[in-house]
Amino acid sequence: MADMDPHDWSEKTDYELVTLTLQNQHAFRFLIERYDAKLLRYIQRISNVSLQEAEDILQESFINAYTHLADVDPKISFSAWMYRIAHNQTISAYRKRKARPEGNMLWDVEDDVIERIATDEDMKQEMDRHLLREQFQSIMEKMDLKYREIIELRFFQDKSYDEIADIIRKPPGTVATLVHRAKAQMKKHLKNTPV
Amino acid sequence: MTNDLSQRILNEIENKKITPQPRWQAQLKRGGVWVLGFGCVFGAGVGIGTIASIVKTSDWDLYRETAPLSPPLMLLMLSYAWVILVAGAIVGVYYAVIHTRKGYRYPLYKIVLLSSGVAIVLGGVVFAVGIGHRIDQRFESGVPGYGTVFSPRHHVWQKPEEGRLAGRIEEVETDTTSMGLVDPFGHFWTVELQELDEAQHIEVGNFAHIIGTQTAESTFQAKEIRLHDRPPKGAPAPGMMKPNTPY
Repeated sequence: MADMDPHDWSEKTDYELVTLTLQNQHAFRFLIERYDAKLLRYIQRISNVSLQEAEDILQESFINAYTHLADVDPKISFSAWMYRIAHNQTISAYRKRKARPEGNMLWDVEDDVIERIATDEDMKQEMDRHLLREQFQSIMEKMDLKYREIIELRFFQDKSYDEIADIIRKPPGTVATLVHRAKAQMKKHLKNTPV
Repeated sequence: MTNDLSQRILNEIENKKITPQPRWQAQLKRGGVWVLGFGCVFGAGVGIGTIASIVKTSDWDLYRETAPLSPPLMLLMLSYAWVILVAGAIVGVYYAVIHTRKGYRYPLYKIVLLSSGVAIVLGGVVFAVGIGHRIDQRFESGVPGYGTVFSPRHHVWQKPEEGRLAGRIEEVETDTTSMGLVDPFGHFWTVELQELDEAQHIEVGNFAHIIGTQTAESTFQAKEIRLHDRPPKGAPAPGMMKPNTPY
């Protein structure tokens, strides 16, 4: 199985690849390669672990996903299902750690991310976008894990409320509340940041 | 990085001979969640039906003629064991729903309201056809400690010095001027019936809630009396410990 596979299934949909993987393990490579970079960044940002640890968590997540592939529901996106597994694996690894890692997350803040964060009027008036961009790294390090995760999923990975609901297994209304609170916490940290 | 990582994962899968779990295992797990959910709704329905039967036979209105009925006392008379069971069943329904494929998308209040609504309808049926009453009686007779610890409503009712007496009728005088009654603590009482507000058809084996006045250590003058069904054959009186008196 470890040998290179002659098939090119890169055009297949996620669900087609899931079905193929259940018949031919080689198809799983295409699912891994489709999601590994995004998931690695997601894991690193929400947990702040080192690259090596993030890769271990990611590996466990994919193996866990592979084991439970028959459970994939075509009505829920594979992406949300895969993120959900990575979320559980990351939270579990995070809880096992006694010392909280610091300084491993890298938030490359593009303009469009800042725009998405500062969509409501209140933020537009109060938030200094330049300052936010400058201080983003340190603000994120101070934020609670659950809010960091929401910021990552909503503003960096551009997920909809419904997709986030499927990932964190909470009602979409609760996701909206979490987004609001995450922004509020970000604003609070921004105000307390020495210029 | 991508190729390295995917190769590493594929090697790990191969080396550890990991295979996807068969579909039936996932289906079994999902089926189990639904069974748990329906089982909990059913349990809550039975609990509500039984509580309704208990409320019907608790004679709260009669109790209030002798003393105020505080919320903790009401809970005791409702049988807190059943209240806890119903609450636990609703928690069970919530747990089951959020573990279905899409159940987590529904907020807590919707799940609780909907499942409580279904359980109340089911409880209404359980109450109306008398299953609740039969369950309560079976528990009284068959579950040790049910009447004394888990559902102590008759003990709460029983306070002769405050004008309340409860127990099973053991004997009735032929002229129905008095009757013998064993209270939930196994104590025998002579209950005088001359001052009853309205005549009652009193039968041996009935359970009675009585208000009136204690006139001597084991004598009670009844003013009003509420009779309830006989317990199942061979069962001790509701809420009673096994009789240890010769009566």
